[in-house]
Amino acid sequence: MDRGDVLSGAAFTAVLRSAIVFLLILVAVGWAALTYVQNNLQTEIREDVKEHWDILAADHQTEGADSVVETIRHVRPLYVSGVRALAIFDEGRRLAGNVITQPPGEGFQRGPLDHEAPLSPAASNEFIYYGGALGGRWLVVGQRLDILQHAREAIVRTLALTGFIVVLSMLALGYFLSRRSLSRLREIEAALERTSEGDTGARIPENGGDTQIDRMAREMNRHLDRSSRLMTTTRNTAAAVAHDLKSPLGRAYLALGRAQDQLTVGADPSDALFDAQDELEQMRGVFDAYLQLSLIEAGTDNARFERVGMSALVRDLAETYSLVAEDAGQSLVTHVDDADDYEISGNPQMLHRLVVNLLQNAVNYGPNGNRICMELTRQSGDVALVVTDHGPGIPETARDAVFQPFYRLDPSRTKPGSGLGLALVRAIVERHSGTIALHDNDPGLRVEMRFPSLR
Amino acid sequence: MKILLAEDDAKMAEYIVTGLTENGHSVDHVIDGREALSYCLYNDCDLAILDRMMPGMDGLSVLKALRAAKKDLPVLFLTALGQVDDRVEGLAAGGDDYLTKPFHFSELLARVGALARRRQNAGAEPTLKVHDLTLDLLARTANRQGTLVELHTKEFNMLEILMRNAGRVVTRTMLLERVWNFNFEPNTTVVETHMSRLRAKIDKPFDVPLIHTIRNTGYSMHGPR
Repeated sequence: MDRGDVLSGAAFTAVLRSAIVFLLILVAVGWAALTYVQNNLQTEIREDVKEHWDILAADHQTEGADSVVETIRHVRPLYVSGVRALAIFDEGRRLAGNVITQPPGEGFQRGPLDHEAPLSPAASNEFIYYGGALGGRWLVVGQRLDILQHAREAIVRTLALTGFIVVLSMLALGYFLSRRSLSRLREIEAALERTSEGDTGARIPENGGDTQIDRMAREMNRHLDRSSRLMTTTRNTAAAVAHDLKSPLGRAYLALGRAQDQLTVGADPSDALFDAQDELEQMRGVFDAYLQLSLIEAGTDNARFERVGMSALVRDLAETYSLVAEDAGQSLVTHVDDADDYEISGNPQMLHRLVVNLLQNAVNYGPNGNRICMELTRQSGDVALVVTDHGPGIPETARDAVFQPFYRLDPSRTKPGSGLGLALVRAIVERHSGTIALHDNDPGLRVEMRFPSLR
Repeated sequence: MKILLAEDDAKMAEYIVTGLTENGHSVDHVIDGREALSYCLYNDCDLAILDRMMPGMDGLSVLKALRAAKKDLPVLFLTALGQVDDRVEGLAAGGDDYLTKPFHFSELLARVGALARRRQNAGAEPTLKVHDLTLDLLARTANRQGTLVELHTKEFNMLEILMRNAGRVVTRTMLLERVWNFNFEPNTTVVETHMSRLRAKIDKPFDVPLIHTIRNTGYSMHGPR
């Protein structure tokens, strides 16, 4: 995997950005903490220095000036580290203590002191000291600011270490996530590449996850399913169109030739011409159905949808088709609840065609004595239309295939029809956001459709 | 009758012009929508046949412009196959009829005749009469030679269309559209089934048949000639 691709991944760049923000916050907070701690420490040092000075001043009050000098002499060995400064001067001359020359200024001062202890190279000669007169003498108490520097160093070191560890682990995590999503993206890319090369079976492997990429992958797979179905259909259809139109076209040619022959011998060519017309009529029907099918399937039919009362539509067509069935030695009964309009949002033209196709199919394929039944009910809020017959039915294995354009159960194609009837029915049902299922009617076919109700 | 044909397919237009002329109509032909519109606005004609899809201006826009200019001449649309709603759209915009390409010439001729006829008897007469058959449009009953004939809705509608176009051909497709509202070819015997019942009621019991089958086209209603 190319590192550059991983580093440009969304996860990694997001982490990188938050790492930068984190660092900025860390520096700001660190600076604030440092200032706060330093101020506090300085205050503490001042209080400490003043306390020492005051103790010695109290000593001077009670025990006298020489007692103070004595005390300083006693404690001086304890102060060899050079951190604390303590000295008493008389007219600039050191009486006792570890500061060699009297520092300038009265009260709190900050600055270097002439300390007798040797200065270590790392430490700075910076003191806070308090100088003041004590009975004609000058008492100086101070403390080196090393502690401030130590605190600063400790804080900066801690913050730097924290920042380093956090940022490093963030970047590692980002790299890991980015790498993982990149490998998913690679899978998607590969699948799409195979698709664009014409492999309709290519799918993105699904891992059941629920990240955005996983969801996208699932969505893409659904899209691929649909488009591969469409592609297969189109491929089959093109072949079937050619096949189904070739026969009537051939017959029309023959009929026209016959008409020509009859004309040359002076006979009446009407019959042959009518035959040719019939064949062309049939081709026109196939074209019309096929065009409509493809427009509906592509959703580009410009059809207007309105409130359609299915009960009126069903009853009207039932009236017509009960006579058609009767003439074919069959019967059609309808069950519709009179009190219900069964309104759906639909296109009346399409719905007409849907019902007509189903009824005509039932009559065309049904035997003498076939009982056809059409029923309109409500099922869990949907409007359900069920058409059953006692004809030959459709074997279970072919129940998906019959929805394919130009599919025929009867390979000899002796029955009239374009082979588009059920394909059109399904396209219309789906255009109306409905569902369709074929079942066994024992014997015969049971077509169940459901449409979202308008109510 | 004077007819304007707006059609951009030259071959198709030639066939239509020749055919209509042979049948006694006078036809002017234009090849785009704008020409059609200005022709209809500045010339008198009895009927316009407009292709839905034309260069310049489509047929529907021409019709809308005509109706906006209060021109009420009958308009027949020629539309493409497969369009579900073309017919509804055309009729809603004020079109009088539509025909899907490709079509039989006899189909066009029948519709042109029906439109001319419709215009002539625009007044709503309460009864129609062909030979010895009268159809009462209000009572929705037929009466032949003094015998009252009961008709079902579809039978009545079929008979009304046939009688309004007495002496002319009414095609099977016209009946499917107007009686059943089918704007597709359902490969069905619906028309034949109902026609045989209608005949059994108004023709069979009497000596003179009034409904005549025109082979491969449709039906025509007329008395003995």
